[in-house]
Amino acid sequence: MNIFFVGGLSTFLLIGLPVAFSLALLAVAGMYFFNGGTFAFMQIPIISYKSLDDFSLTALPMYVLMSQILLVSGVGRDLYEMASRWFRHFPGGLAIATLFCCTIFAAISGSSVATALTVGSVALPEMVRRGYNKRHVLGLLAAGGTLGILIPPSVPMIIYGSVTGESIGKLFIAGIVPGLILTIAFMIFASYQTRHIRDVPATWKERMEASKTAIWGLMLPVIVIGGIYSGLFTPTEAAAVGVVLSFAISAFVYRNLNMDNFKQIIFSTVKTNAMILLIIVGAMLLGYIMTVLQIPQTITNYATEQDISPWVIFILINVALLILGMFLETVSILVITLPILYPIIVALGFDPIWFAIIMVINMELALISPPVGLNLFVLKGIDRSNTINEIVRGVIPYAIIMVLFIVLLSFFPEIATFLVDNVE
Amino acid sequence: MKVLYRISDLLIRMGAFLSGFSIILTTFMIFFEVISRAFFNQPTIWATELSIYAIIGSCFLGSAYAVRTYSHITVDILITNVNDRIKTILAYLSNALGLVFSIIFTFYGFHHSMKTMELGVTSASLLRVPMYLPELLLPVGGVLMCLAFILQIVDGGVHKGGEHI
Amino acid sequence: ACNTSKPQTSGASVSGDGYEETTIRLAYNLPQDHHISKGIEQFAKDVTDKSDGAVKVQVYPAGQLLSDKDMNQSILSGGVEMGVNSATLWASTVPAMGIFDVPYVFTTYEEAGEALNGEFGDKLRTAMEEKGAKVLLFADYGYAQFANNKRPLKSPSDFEGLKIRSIGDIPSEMIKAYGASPVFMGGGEVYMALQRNTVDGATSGTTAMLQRKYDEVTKYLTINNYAYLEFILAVNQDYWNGLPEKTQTLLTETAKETEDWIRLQAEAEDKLTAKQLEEKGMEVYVVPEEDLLEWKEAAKPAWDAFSKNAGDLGNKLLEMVDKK
Ligand code: NA
Ligand code: NA
Repeated sequence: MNIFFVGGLSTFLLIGLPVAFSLALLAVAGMYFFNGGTFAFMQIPIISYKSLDDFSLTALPMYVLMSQILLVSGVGRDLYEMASRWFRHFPGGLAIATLFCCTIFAAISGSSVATALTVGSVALPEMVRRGYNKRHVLGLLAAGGTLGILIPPSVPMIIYGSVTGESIGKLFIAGIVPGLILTIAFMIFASYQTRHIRDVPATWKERMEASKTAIWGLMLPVIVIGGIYSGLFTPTEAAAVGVVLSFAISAFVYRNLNMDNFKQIIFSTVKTNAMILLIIVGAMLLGYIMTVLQIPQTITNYATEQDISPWVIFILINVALLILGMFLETVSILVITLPILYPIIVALGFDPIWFAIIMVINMELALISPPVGLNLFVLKGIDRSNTINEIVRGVIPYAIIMVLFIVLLSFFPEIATFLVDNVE
Repeated sequence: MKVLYRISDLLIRMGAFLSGFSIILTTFMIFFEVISRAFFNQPTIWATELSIYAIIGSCFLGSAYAVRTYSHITVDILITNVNDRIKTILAYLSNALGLVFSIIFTFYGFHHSMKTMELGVTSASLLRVPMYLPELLLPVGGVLMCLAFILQIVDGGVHKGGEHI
Repeated sequence: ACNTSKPQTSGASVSGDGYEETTIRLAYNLPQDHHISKGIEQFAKDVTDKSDGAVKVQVYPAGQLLSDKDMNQSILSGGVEMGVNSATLWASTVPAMGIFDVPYVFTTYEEAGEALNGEFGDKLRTAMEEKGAKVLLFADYGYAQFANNKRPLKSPSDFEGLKIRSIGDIPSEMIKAYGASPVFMGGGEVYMALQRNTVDGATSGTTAMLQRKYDEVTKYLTINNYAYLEFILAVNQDYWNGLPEKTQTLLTETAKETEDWIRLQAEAEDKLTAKQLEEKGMEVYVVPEEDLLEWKEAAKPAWDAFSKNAGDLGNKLLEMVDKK
């Protein structure tokens, strides 16, 4: 049965059936062969509808829209020009600037896809234009985007909290330091990787000029983060506020929101949005049939039922999560595995808050591991000339950094728990 | 035939237009909710619920357009490394498989909506929306997806611009 | 998918013989440590044990397979054979199920139990069967309460101007009738919304409040027992009809034991969790019994809304409980 799913998915993907349809058709085939034939097809519309019937998901199309507005109106370009003038004299200065933007955006949104999309739309063309190796940039953006779920607010942490009963507030706090350390590790690596690009420093006058031009774009994250933390609106609603502000800036400050631009914005948004949401539908359909057939449960149980030392079990859990992360979408993985993993982690004497951070980093890996990695698809969606192959090759060093970071966290759990213990 | 082709393409574009409209509508509904709740202490009873329907619509109504514009992500390791003949065969094959899924999706989606209508299921909210209405977005989008894959097959597995898939 | 081989019949088994082999898939969407979940898990285990492994109940816990939103449709279409879901969500298919959300219908745990075991329960069971789902058991969740950050709610007028996160239509009508505004937002956002005062309060059972750490983000807890939340273990009607009578009897009898156990737990859990919330720092106000009439009268619009939606059956149910 496992061979059926792995083989089926590989075949569909390789012959060029779009990812969303590959996942969905495989789910349909699984239903047909292992779950009672066409009778099971009644579940297709039910699961398809359910997979999008979630208010927090409404933020996604709006972030897609926002990234298109920032791109077309030139707000993004100006922000980038500013970041460039401030950072370009460092080795790989724009890579640092991009990760800086990822961090800011991660603090706005709870989603990695939204982070990769918004920062990626602006940064990818600009960095390539300025001579950065495209593969390096793609890797940087795919990985940098994943910070969206480690730096609070974070949708996976909310799921972890509601499934296990751990404090969501504590989980958010626990994510801050690991999120910043991982960002800095990414920055150091990206800067080293692109060290040969180092521009002459901009003069202070140039920096000030660029900052003045970018002021409107800069206000966007300030207002949005301020609004979330003052309680004016929720992280989901922040997306709507961001879009309206971007429209306003484009229409009244940049004065370039004409009919042609508007049409371009809308139709690109529709394409990218349908692409991402339909992949989520496909992944949910596949997750459904795999859950019915108990496949993830079997893998997780196998990893946890070995009669060996807690740390070996911990390693097996991480391997199991890595494997599931290749094929399933993050929400499904959390919901399917947590009821099995959480009691085991607690019984083995591990700190459940610390484990949540380990889990989230695993979910970050799931977002960039082929064949099913939403962040890979987002970057492919931003520029169709990118190949998944190229993106994956670019992202490998960052995946290694994440794995090393899990090792580091295992030796020093305080990185995640220190702040939680001291905020009380 | 040509007329049918044109009409199909037009319908798919209309789906895309409605999909875009849904996203804009969602943005303004939620923005209104924020302003109304935060500054006038009057939360709406409809913004959250209608936004979810609009987003479901944005996905299914826009998917066919994404098929026609080659915006759905494909894994390209194999197809960038085979000759044109095999590329064309694979294009026919993948479009046929896409059509198979779309037909099943449309048929059962429609069947399901009708069942929901028969049972009289409404949303569990103050609006009490008959659920078959938002559920119909699935088969409607499904029909457009069927059309899109048929048009791809008619096109013969080649991009309009001549570039191979 | 896989062939199930009949396990060796052990000598100790009394009723092991004669059950036709079958696997029943059962999904629920509550946390595994919830008392309803514990009861359902025990139900699954008991059925399997009593039939000596012939009738297997394959449980998909905690939303693994289905969420509350797609549970009913999956049961009705046979996607799963059995599932547990709230009466609130069943009310969107069987409007009379909304009776459990109608404010102050059941004032004691015993009253609810009696009604469900009698004609009241039968009417609901029949209404569900007409739609294609057989009720195996009513699982008592416990009473719903209010938590908020503004002030102790000592009378309905204290609700004036509050923004309260609500679920379902009938509680929302009551919140409106009390002068507050119901706010609708995704479940994942409630914690942060309470923390940042995006909303002032929320309504739920104390078991769920403790589970979702409301004590970390809200100050006041009001125990007004306004709704006796009910969950239902339902089985697909066609599937049920196809089962041998012997298996049906086994399921019905085991379900009855489970129902009684859960009912006892509901009361104990409500008390325990309210106390735990207090220990964790929430200020608890228990509405005295003599005040409840005022709270009930003020909630009249919610009764009207239910009566309008739930038709003849709904009104009959209202009459039945109002007499008591
Ligand atoms: Na975040
Ligand atoms: Na992956």
